[in-house]
Amino acid sequence: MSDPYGPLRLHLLPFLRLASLCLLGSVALFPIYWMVVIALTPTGFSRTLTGILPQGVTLENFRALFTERPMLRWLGNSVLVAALSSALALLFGTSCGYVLSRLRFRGARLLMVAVLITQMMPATSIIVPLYILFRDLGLLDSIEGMVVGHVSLVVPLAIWMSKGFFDRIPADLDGAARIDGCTRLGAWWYVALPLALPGLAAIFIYGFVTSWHDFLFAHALVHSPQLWTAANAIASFRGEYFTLHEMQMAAALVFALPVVVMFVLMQRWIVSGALTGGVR
Amino acid sequence: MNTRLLSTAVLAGAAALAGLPAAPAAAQVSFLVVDYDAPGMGDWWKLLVETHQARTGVAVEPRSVPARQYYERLLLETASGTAPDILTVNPNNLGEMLAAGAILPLDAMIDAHGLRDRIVPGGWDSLSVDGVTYAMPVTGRTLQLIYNSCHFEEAGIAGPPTTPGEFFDLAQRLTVTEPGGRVLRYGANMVNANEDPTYEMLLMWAIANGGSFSDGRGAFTIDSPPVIAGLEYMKRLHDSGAVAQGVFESDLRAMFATGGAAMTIDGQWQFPFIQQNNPDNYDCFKAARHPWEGSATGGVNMALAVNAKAADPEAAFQFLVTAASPEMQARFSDYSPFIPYGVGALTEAQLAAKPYLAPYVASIGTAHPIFIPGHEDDFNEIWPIIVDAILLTLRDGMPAAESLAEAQRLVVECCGD
Amino acid sequence: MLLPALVVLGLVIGLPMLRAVEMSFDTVNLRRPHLAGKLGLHNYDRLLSDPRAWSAVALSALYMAGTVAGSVALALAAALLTRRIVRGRALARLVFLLPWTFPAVVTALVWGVMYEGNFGVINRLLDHVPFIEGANWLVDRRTALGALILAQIWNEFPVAYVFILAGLHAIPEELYEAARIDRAGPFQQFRFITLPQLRYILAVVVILLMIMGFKSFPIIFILTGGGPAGATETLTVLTFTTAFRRLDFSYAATLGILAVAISVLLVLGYLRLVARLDAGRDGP
Repeated sequence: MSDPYGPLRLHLLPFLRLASLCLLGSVALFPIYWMVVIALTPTGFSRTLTGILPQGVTLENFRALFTERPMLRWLGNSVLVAALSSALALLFGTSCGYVLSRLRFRGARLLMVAVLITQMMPATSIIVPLYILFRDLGLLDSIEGMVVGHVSLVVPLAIWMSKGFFDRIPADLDGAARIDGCTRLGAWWYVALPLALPGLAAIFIYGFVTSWHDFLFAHALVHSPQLWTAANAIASFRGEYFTLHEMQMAAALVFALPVVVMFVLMQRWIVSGALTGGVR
Repeated sequence: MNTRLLSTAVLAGAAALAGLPAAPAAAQVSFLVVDYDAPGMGDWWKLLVETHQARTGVAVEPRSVPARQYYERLLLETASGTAPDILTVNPNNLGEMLAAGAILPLDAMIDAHGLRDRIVPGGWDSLSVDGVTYAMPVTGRTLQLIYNSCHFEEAGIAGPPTTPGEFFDLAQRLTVTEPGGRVLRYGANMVNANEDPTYEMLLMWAIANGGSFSDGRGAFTIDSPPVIAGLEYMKRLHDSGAVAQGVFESDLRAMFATGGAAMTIDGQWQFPFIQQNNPDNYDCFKAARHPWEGSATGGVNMALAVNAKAADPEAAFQFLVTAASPEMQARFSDYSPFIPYGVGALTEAQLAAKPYLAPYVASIGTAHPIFIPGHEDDFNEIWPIIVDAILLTLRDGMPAAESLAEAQRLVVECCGD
Repeated sequence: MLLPALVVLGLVIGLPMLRAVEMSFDTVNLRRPHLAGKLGLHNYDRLLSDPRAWSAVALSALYMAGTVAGSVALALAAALLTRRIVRGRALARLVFLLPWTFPAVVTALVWGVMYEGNFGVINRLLDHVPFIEGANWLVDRRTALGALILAQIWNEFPVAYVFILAGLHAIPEELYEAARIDRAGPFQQFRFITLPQLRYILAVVVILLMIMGFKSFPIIFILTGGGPAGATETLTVLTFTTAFRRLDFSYAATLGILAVAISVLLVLGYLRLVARLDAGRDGP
């Protein structure tokens, strides 16, 4: 082969690739490493570290998390709320996205934009009406309230993304199903959904992470510590007089674990899923 | 969904609540409480709730709020008419609550229950506006000098500073730097981050120079010579490298507690934190009088008020009566690191167990409030303006007279009479 | 089938948004409750002549542009680098997803500790790097906004990474084989195959990040609170202080509507862009 780039590709390029990969990777990982260092430092001492290694390593922060705080309960709440709200958002969002994909009607585009607009208002501007609404609906300080709130955060993206997925599935397929006697709902459930499964996984994951991180609904509308989810629990280490950085970082690392497990399990799906939706 | 205007909705969550038939005798009252589950102060609140239930048979529903979220929650609940019967308030936001029509005047009930004399003289002052009292003080604090006596010994310094000049000099002597120039230990702490404690720092040094943020009639004096001198003092301290720059107050506390700074001017809550997290060096830490003539800053920290929309104000007020009872006050210091406001609440034994309380107790009666008298309902509008001025001088080198003149202009514009 | 999603959205966000619109024509100020019911355009009048609001818009736009550009660049680089890895692929990809597992609150706090001027590990590391001076990153008005943007990029670039990686995998391998036969170098392949094939997904990613960036709040609020002296006071921060410090909920609602208006303009611009790309797809 007379490839003028041959030597470059064989030797220099792989090396450059690896070097840049390592560099970028360490930039991505360093703050996490620093969280670990802080989490392993005794309470109060992380602000005066002078090296890049932890000084006086202790696991006390992790122990205290589980003995002095209802960590398991908070983890359970987070998983429950994230799973429920992302599943519901998926169900609602994809059915809506399917209709928008299959039916051409006046105002469809406007509807899509309107759906997006709901995500643009700074939370502070709607928090008072939201609070009043949740009070009137009896949803203040409840798991249900958080789930409903998180569904509303994820649904717009679910609609937009799933419309993309369904656009890629030839309409003939579910058209055929309808000739066989399926209703539109049936065609969606039995034909379109299974075909878009990888994409659905991506939406589910996006919803899960969004709910896991949400601070608006968790912070403003839920008061009781026994109902807290990850973001609330982590923020609670920032007290009026002292910020318990060390325990807070320990909590952040523990709360990251379920998300990491989900990433590992669903990684293949994230990639192939977003793929079918994104590129038409 | 109805289409009534939001304003009506806001003002009347009110109407909704007020419209409820008033129960003849409340079986339950609700209570907005800061950090109910925290050890220390939270334990006293719990004891109070239990005692009250035992005493009156009225159940108390505590609604705990983390301190960091407290103020937003209070506003949110006030704005939407869902606030509980008993509110925890602070002199800095009392005026705002009052302007919002959210709290009841208490004088008639205070006198009917004979509470007036159960609180130390002056205790009611910062909670009264135009002679009407709106809340009962429960916890107090001032800022006093706390120093690490081990660092002092190591540097061969005999005792704590007593004047601003000494404080400045010792801060230099106590600062330890690495060969590379990075600081290993700061001589002192002085909050200079974008948060309200920075405002209190300037207030302190303004008082130390014989001034304040307003004159006796409530006119602003932000650009008066004592305030300028205070800011110039802060600037010298800032530029000397003896204090950390831009670090938030809560982080400065952790630094001080773990030996990263030799002196601080702060509240008594430092001590329980050090005792718990740096027990080996706990004996190094000592409290002393603030290093200037004149008052310390502070005063009432948490007070109890009755929601203007409480279904049964008398039942709510009964909770305040329990809180002020000698029985509850006598046990206050067993739990809380704050200064109690009940007459005779601190016993000799309690003081002996917490020797660090002495300068705090001594200064609380004359403490200068943090808000600006006469502008009670504008604290949250004023402090960001003053903090901006401080940071402009400390960070960008704007002359103190100039940045404070601008602050004076803005403060008069937003909140002048 | 449209209904469940639209009902939830309409109820939970739409209704409060409509009420915020009503509120923006009213005077809901907790400190001046007697002014309630004073209706009119006064909040919009005030907005037009409020230099603080427009400076906040500019800062928000800057912040948004910085986070979008940085996240996309970083995500693109990471995706190109991890695309053809054979060994340790799952691990390599996890590395670039990990920052996404931490909420903004955590991101803010750990970067705050790392940025600190004296003890902060970034400056401690820079001490060993020649020619680069440390700074007090969040305290110095020249570096504060950039420092915030960097923290935000770290936290949100994985979102872009996921989509871009997926987009790369959708590019048919035959295109590259054909290019190699034509002796196109790696940079030409990127320029003439990868980028055009990614255009749609990049546009999707950009709009998502735009909305995220424009609305971004916790990182800014926790790290600088809008300071030093207003240097990082974005529109969301100003909205927050207007509502919860000045207790002027009506003006806060007005600022929120301004944020929506600007975001809508951005999205409509985006939609036109996508339409143009779609139209040009069959071209040369």
